[in-house]
Amino acid sequence: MHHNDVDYWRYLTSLHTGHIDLPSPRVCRLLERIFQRWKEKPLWLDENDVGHLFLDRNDLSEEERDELAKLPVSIRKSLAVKRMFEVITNPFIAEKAGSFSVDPDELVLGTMPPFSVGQGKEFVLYLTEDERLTAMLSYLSERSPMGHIVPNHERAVTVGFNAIINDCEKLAAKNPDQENFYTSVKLSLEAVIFFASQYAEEAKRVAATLPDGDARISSLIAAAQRLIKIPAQKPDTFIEAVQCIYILHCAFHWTAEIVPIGRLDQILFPFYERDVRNGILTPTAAQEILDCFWIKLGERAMLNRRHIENRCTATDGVLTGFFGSSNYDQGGLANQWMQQITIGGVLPNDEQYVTDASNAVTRMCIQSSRRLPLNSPTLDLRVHTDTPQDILELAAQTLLSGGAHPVLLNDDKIIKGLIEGGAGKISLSAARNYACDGCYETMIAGESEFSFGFVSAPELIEKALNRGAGLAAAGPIHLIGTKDSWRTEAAPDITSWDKFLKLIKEHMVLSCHRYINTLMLNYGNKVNVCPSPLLSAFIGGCIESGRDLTDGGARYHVFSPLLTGISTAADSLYAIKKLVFEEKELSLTELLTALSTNWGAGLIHSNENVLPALGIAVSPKRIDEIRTLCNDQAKFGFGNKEVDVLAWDLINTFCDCVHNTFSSSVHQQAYKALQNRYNNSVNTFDISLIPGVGTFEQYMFSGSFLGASADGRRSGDAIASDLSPAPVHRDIAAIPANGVSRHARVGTLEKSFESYVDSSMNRLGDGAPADYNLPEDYPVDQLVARLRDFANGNGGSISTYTVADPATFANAQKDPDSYNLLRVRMGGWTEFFICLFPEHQEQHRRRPLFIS
Amino acid sequence: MIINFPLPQPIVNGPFQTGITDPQWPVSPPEIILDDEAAKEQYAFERAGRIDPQNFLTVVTANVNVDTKESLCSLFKSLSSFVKAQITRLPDDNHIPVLKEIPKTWRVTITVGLGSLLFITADGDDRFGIRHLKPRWLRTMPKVTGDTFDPSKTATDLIFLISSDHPYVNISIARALSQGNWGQQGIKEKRIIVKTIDQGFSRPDRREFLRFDDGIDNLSNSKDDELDKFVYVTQSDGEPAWATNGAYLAWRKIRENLPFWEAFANHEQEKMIGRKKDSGVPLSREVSGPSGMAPVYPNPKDKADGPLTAHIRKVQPRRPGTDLFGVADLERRFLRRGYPYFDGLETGTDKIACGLLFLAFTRNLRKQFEWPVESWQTNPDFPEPGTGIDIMYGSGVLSNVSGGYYFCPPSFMNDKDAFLGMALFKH
Repeated sequence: MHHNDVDYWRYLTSLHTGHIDLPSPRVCRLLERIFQRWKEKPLWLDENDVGHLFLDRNDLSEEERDELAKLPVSIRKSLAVKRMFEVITNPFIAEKAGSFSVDPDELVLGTMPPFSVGQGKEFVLYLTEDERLTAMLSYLSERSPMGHIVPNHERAVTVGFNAIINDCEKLAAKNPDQENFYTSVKLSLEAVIFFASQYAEEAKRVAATLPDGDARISSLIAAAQRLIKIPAQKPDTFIEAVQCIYILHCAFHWTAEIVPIGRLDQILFPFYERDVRNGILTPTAAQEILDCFWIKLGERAMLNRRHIENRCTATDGVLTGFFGSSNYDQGGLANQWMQQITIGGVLPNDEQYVTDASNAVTRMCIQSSRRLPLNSPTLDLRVHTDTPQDILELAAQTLLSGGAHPVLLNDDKIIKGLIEGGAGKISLSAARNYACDGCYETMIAGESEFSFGFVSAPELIEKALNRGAGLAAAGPIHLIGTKDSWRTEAAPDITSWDKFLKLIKEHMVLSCHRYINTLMLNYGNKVNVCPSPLLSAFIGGCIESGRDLTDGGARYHVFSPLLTGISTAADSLYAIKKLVFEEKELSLTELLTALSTNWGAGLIHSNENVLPALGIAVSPKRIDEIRTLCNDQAKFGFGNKEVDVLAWDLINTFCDCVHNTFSSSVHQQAYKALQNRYNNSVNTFDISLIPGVGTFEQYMFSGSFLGASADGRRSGDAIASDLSPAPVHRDIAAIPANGVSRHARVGTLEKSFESYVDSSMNRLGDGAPADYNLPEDYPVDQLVARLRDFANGNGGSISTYTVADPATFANAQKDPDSYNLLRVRMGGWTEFFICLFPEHQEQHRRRPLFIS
Repeated sequence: MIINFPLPQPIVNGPFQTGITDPQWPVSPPEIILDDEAAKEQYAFERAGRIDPQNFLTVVTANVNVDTKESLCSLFKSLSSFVKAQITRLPDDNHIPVLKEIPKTWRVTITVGLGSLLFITADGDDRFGIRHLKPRWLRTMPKVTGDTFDPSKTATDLIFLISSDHPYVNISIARALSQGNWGQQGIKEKRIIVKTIDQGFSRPDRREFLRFDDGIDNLSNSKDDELDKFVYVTQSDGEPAWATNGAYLAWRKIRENLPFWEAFANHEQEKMIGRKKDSGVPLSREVSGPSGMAPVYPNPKDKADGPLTAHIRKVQPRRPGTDLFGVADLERRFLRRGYPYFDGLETGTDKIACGLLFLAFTRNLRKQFEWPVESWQTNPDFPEPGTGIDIMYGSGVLSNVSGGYYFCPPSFMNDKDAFLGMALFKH
């Protein structure tokens, strides 16, 4: 593991030629350039250069502008896609914006935009003024596509765009009602072919600038020839397939569709196998190609949070089925590009017994992740009982190299969850073909649309304690707090543990109903604002049905209600159960005052009295005693079954609630209306609700809405990421001052895994990651053994591993430049620690340390 | 034999800024020695295609005191006029005694470098909207072992390298810059704020305070035009188009602890440097190049060719073949144009403050300067684990007390309308 680029290069310098850690000279040169690039402020498009498709276009006549304005929105969108490619490849704009370039060392050409999830995007506008106003009433605009689904890259590499265009032309002729859709797809695909051709020209231009005899000239000419051929025609070789995927990936991201890669090893292996068989590719050459691909996916990162740009608007990347302004925790998403690459797992068949899917490309992908110190792409490794041991060994070595790659997903649990959530609509073979998106969300690769929503478990406890109100705003303004749910019994009337749990469930049921209700009401509202013709070409079901992705065209409609803050909730419930209802160390009303005053910080000092704004009076001293008691209780995620079982019960209750509320008569009319609207001759419209547990990077954002919790956490402080054991509270030092302990909260993976071995984990088809911090000296053989345990089902559904000593984090905060390769798992991807805002850094430092 | 050739003059009409690779001795020996083999050999070793630095150097660093692209452009125009006037100005004979001979020229050059902060500040602010034009490898100099200063704290917007054959010429120009007397007559210029001024001088024997010949194996255009090839950016370097014919500058003020150094015996000093003190011949068993001044290290880990921590082995290991980037070690050389400095007593002590004003010009800052410094010179595990860093720094003889990275734009002397960094303002 290397903390900074200087150490990394020094290590590589010490290696002999052919060492497995040593990339090719070409890759080293590219890597050296992106290290420099990461340190600089990324260039951005000027929004005025991007402009509008027709409004204020002086280069168009009035008649031409009028003609464009009259076109259907979907056609205008596809023309905007083309226009975007024209803008970003314009030499003048490209120089200012860094939007289009070819490096002589590149094998894989293309340029990703700087549009990370946190920074937002630019895209050519195409709506009329009236349309824009109408859309804005629903918080939508041209910038509202969310991407966030797994495209079918296999289609791109096995068919070729011309063939898809031909299909569209034929289908349009046969289905006049869908002509606009097919035309929009055709125009979008032609735009990508144009985009690729621009790179071919640029490669030739750059080659001409090189001195005679430079070996890179022939490499660039070959790259240009590839881009003349693909993506119009299907790739025939491994490198053509990689280039095809990358240019399409760039095209998606430049046109507001932030999407992942999918099951790369499965897509590429046939090309690899054929090329090797034909003697035109060696494993070393294939590894170099993949390394180049990795670098292209990682080149847009930045190391300095002062370099963050904010281009997000109220309408950016709107979740399907969501209503409201689009505000999320951008500050934690600086380098999140949603570039998930899924590998391993099982073959997508309906056989009774699974067949391991790992192959040579699987191993090469892990190698690229191990030896290249990047944050992106995020590698997601699917594992199961039959995962070969060498894959797990490679994974362990890769994790200990420090990049928090790969994420491990347990196929047996995830596939069971997808099948249960699919309620008969998702076949076994489809479930076995899942791939990760966004952070790690699982979905049927290339055939699903997807969205999600949150239900906060700690908030449910607040509402149960506090008559349906949240605790964060309790005080002089809102008195009891912000009212949001049923007014349930007051704390003095909650006389038993069972009654308390029943109240929690009442609030949970309402939350699930609200999620489903909002989804039903708003589904399909994007089609007249921001259709996705390009992405629709690569989502199964759309071309077949003649419907855009935003118009119900996908084969599967996967929506994931996510329960968040479970470890905070379980820890709190355990404290309440034990201290209030079992040992009766304190009363629920005392606890409520302690929490509603944020452990006494919100007590009002007046005329020598110290009192809460509302609720029974409890002295500061007593509140301190209560907090100490709460802090000292056992916590979730360390193999304490008495706590863990509370988390399992919460999950089971949640999954039951999701499925029961969805089938409730309350929603049937709306659901039937959607089905009537979207059923077609190819697909029936069935919503699959696949629960999961996840905060992603929103462990601070989610915590910011919460009041103090009975686990001892203060109001507004961060919660744990995903389904991880909770961090040490913000007001407690991560490294104790005793000079002995490495961390204030220490555990072992063996014991922690016990907290996840429960059938409830098989119900979370969208996954429930446990994010672990390991010390840098964690023995590789022991990590291999733990990964084997996990693959065999003796752990949760997803696990991630950040490798960094507590002291490393502390030093990195003091001397960032010396830790510019220190990377951490953000709940959904890998981030450079020094790029994080201090509050995020503090949360990572406070995550428990799991030692061998 | 002593032969007095006419001194080479600054090249002001070429594509490159003056004061980098000029004044430069012609590659071919002068006619006067064509029949003298010994003199030709001497010429080939000492002069052919090499720079002939002026006698004095003054390094001025400064920040700009403007806040818009337009005002920066205006500033650069004004500065360029001043620089052009100073370079082309003839020696003044006012108040010179009649019988006192003064040369026809003091060979004045003023080389201007731009710091990375002009393009983007350390806080990430694009002050002038030109960050997309920043030369690829220009950045704030990273801190390395041996630095006693924080380069991020001393980084400046501009550097002026004032060279001439008379110290007062340099002083006069430096004063004008620092006191605001460089612009329109009668108006005190406040658009630049001078931060530091350092003065250096050269000795005819090229030896500096350590008593070794500095730059004995420096680049020369007599070797396949390597001087120009190693110093100036070309259009195939992946740099912004405007940067072609510019050069990177790594500048350091290197403090030399002379009492400590002089306590070492000559043979110990030779092992630390890696060359013989009197002749400059390398300690390696094999040598190459004119007069055998280039060492040969067939095995970079073989101590028979000199200690592995010897300065010249740590800054240029000369390994056969290519490295992990496919680059030969010798492709990582740069032009050295150093001058000794003497600052008198260190404030408040009885210690002499002296050393070297180190200037390295490169075509690729990362490849030719930063990589050798980080991966060889200050890497304790190069060429093998436990070797230690360059002993000149490791022992405490040398320490860096100031410095920075800059980019010297192409010439603005070759057109009357041209000015410093003109292409930065074309859009």
